[in-house]
Amino acid sequence: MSARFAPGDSVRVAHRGVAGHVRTPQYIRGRCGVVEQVHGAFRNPEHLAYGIRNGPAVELYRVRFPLQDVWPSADSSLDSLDVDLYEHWLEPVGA
Amino acid sequence: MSHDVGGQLVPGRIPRGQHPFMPWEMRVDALMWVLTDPSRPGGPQMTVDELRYGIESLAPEDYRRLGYYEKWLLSMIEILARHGVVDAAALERRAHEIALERAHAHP
Repeated sequence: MSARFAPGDSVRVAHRGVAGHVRTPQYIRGRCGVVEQVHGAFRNPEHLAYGIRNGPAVELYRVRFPLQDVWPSADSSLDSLDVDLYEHWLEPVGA
Repeated sequence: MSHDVGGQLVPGRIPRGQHPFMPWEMRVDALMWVLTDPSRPGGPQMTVDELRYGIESLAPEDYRRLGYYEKWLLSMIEILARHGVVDAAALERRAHEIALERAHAHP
């Protein structure tokens, strides 16, 4: 399986409410960031959490977000926040 | 979800000290390593992802009240009972017996 996104790509995190086990924190959903690194494909924790160990591997990315966008009150325009996110949570943002 | 607290304001200061681990806490940790060992014959009994989901599924008041390894233990018991490895009712009975024995030994 090849990665859909490459370093430098702008992505938006899906704004999805999902019951059960997910690794995408609430505060980052709906935010836009830039792919910093493609980690490779890993088994999906959203399957592993239910004991499904033979599911397909999913690409994992390190995505960087301006901290000010995530928490406007943080008063830290120079800081950024990196979050590891699985591909099915990311949508392309028009260049 | 009670566990997804990133970015939320919490009252007071977060305690940052480390307490020495109790023997039972080290046992819970060791048990988790054994249960998730990929080299176990027949594969691991459970995954850390299942552990996490079990912890996240605790009642919100339990999630806030219980300590780190207490949450691990409750999640592991739930998973092992579901997998048919332990009998949750038998475990409960044995824990009650031990509590009674202790109460008699140290009244």
